[in-house]
Amino acid sequence: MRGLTLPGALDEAAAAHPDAAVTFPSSAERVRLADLATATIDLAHGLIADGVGFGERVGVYSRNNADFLVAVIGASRAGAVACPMPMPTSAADLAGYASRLHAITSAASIRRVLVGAGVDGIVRRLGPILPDLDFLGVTTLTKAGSARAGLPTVTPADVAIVQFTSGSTAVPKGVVLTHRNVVHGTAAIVDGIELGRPGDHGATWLPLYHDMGLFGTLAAVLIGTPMTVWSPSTFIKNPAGWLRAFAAMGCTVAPSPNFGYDALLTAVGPDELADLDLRRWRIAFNGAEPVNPVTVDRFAARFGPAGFAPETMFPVYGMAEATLAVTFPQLGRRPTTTWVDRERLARDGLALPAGAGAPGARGLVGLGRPVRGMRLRIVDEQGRELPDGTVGEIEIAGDAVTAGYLTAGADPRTLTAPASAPASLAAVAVAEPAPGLAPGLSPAPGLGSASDLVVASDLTSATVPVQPTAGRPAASTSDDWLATGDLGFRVGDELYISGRRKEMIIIRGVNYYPEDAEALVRDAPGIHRRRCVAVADTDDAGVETLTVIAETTLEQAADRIGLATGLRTAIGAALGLAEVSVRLVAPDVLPRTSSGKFRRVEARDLARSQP
Amino acid sequence: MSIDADGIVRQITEIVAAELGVTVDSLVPDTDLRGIEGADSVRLLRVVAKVEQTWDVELEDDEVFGVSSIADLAKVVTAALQVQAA
Repeated sequence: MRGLTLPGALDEAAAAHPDAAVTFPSSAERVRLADLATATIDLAHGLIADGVGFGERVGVYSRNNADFLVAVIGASRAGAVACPMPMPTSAADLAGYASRLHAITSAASIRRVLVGAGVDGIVRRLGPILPDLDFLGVTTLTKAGSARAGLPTVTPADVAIVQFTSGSTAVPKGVVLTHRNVVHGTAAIVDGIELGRPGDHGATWLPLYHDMGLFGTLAAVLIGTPMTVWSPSTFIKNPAGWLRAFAAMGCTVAPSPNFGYDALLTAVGPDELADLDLRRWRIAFNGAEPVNPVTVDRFAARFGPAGFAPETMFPVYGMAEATLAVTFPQLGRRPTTTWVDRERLARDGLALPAGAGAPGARGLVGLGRPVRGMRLRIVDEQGRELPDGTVGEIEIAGDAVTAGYLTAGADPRTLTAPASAPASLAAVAVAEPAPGLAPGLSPAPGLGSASDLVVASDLTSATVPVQPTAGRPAASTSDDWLATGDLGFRVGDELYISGRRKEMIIIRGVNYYPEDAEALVRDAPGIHRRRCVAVADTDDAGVETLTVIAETTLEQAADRIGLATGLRTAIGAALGLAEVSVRLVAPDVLPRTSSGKFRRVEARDLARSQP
Repeated sequence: MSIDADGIVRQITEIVAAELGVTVDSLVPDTDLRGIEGADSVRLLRVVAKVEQTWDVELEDDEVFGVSSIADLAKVVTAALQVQAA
């Protein structure tokens, strides 16, 4: 039995496999689990000596090096809550980046930020812009941790990590994850791919501040499986070089969003496979953004001669809210694509079979079935379960599923309250449809059995809500279901994702919101009466795009090109998003309701009809 | 070793044009690279990678952060070459 908290699980892994190591080639570090565990204990002592409070949210600001893991696990060992913060990308704009960080630190009431090695230059520049933050070096605090005051007792119900991945820039939402969530979520990943087979070796180049990077890495570390973590730029700058290093190290498992597989296809031609041996690669997770059936097919065809087995490609569905994994294919199954009538899918929410690759057909890659401990249902807008082949919203429940989000305006007093005390729940807004307490965060006894009742009700009648048990707040057990905002359907055991309820696009694993783009460009000179609408759309190839449609009175071609370029630059710089098209239209063309609100769906059609 | 600043700008312009799929003529040293359609952080990192290969320098992420034009990038390369020459 593994430890039931994040540091407890690490301690068990370190005791059983002290010499298993996490390797960081980009920073030339190799850390044994025994030493990692010790470093997290030292950091926890250093944090306590520095006065960190129980339940206090602490920023983690580190590249993909050992300090990141020491900071996340060390903070949670001190009873604090680790909040990974995004690193800047190249060509980021300092002011825009700093304001994104500020939105996160204020939503989480973060004061202390743990800084890893190698980011001194950026921190020096951020310091004056973010004067309320206290940047503390991981190494410095670890050395200061010799005082050996006692460490607090951390329980599975305490919050371990707040993962900021959801929400718009204006209102960032942090996914609140307890130790129980993290332990169950990482165990579900291990179970779903039988991680820890003899010879297994995990690998990732995804940023550790991203959910897929973090929980993928923890899944291996917490069972003592060797893990190698590259910096994202190592992969992006030279995908072919990364693949050769990955293969040479004998790595067996690696995750990537779909774009990473496209990058490898571009980087390694069919005539460049000599002395590339991919026979040991057994799991290539493909998730965090829509899976493209063309990429899946081409990847298997290109790398098959180098030993890449078709069943290695592993298209999955997951999210931070689930502590990553929601559905995995059955282990050993080859990727499967189903072709449906695009029009009927979009218009009627029905998945009707169509010829593979036929005009008007849309190919969707099967994402498997719920991982262990995860329950999933597809419901209509009234919350009724839908039959196979009918599109509805995906709802999930289970021990790895978050109890809710941390939103801006959280009560700062909760910083010092134990996370399991009712006071801190004030900061947690449980996801739609109704507020309530989910088992993970609840201090009340007996709620664990309530979720068992939901399972029982599923087996009998999904539409009959189970009555609350005695002493439970007056809320239906449907509160235990988290609405994901994703739309999809099932065929037998297989889940397919068809779209999204939220106005949002996901590119390279990052969520972008049209309203952020609108807010950025609405007041630009040349835009007629602040009239602009941003719409998320999916093109025929399944690629998600953001289109800004703006009214302008400008008529000269040069002026219009200048305006369009300027808008795109502003959005690109502030959001870090390049997949933006700008369409300029004449005044009063954008469709509005009688109350003056834009009609988004019609605006989207307008965007599509424009060249 | 003398450093040919104009040559660096010219070569970076060619790299940017090739990586971002635009013509050399459409670029000037002050063009904001983030404004070019399709110029996401991934493509810009590839520009950096090509620049590194061309001059055999390694540019720290810290140095590249905040770079938004060909002129900026040329400055970073020049500085790296000066460090190398010293």
